[in-house]
Amino acid sequence: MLAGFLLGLIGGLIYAWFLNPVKWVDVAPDRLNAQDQQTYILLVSEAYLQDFNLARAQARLQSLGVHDIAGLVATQADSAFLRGDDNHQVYALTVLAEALGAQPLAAAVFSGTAIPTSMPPQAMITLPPPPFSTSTDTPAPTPTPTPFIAPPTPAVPAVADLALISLQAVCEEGRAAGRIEVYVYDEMGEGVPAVKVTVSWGASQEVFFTGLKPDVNPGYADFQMEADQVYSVRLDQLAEPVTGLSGSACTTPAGQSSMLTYQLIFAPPSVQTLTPEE
Amino acid sequence: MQRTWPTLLIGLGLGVLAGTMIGWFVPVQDVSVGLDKLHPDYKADYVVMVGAAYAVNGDWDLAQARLGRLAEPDPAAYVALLAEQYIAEGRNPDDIRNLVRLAAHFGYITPPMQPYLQTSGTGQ
Repeated sequence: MLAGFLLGLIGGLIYAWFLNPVKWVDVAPDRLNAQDQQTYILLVSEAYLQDFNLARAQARLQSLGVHDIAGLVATQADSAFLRGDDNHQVYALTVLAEALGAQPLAAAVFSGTAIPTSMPPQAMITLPPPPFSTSTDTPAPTPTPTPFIAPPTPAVPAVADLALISLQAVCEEGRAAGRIEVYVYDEMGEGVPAVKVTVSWGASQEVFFTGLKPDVNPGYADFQMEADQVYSVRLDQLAEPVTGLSGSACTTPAGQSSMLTYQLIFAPPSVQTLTPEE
Repeated sequence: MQRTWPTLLIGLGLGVLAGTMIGWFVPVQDVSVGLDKLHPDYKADYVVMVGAAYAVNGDWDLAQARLGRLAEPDPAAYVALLAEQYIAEGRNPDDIRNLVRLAAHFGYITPPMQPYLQTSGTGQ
């Protein structure tokens, strides 16, 4: 009896697991695959933007069978933000996450509660030639701005006006060469994520955000330069642009050839000294 | 010895039954499904949300793509039928307006939808 039962058990399992596995139909959202669950969450957040019916949004999210729905939406908001997804979608996810009580990273830019601050007047800061340069570099002409479609009414981060409080050109062994390293701090000396950084060179530009390498610093972002290009760095509408960053060759103290790395620290003018933590 | 075989067969049958039940309720493969396998009530709510999102962002291509995920043979007819069902059942007027907005964009406008069509718009 027992032997037969065991044989039958194994046979039944093989049949149910591999030959004729279960196929769900008429399911609730908790049975959806991961990608479609994300689609569902996004739709809930976009629908929330129409009626701001939080109870209804919560009921819809609870059908996913997840305990921490606020964390779930916040995680999706941050993933969408860091991937550079459509601004409308990031905004919708962020607003719902905040309404549910979460504090997503993306709220620094796309918050539904932040109040825009006034913009400081912009001025240009041109650097003197770097001390380690071994070639003569002529200043680059002012780059022609690439047409940029601004996202719809993004909230400005609630950070005091920023200024460049430190700029160092570094050439040393054991350090990544040819990088522009940006650190953004608040008045408390804490790294500020989700600050938009625009690097321009020639007719090109690249946009990225601080906070993508939280293991370095929450307010850190970096950009790899190419040799013999001249770059300018601007924190979107929050600080004066920094120009004249040259991808110049240099020689380390040990005599090795390398490329200059620039370390830029932005913080409120009231902050006098800061040392980036790595 | 004569009782061995029937006993074995009974055990085998019980084992197969138990193994099958266990295997179906405790699958080892990923058995998660797509949006097309949603229960009709959840499908209907999904369409309502597509309509709400369309009302906010005005992205008709996106709305159509989202409706396509349900794998309905005729999404336009499905939306129109759903709108009429919601009207007949006296459902939330905002939900009805969202459905009517979608149905109207597909070209389905029926007399019951008219009152809701006049108060709905497209896009933002």
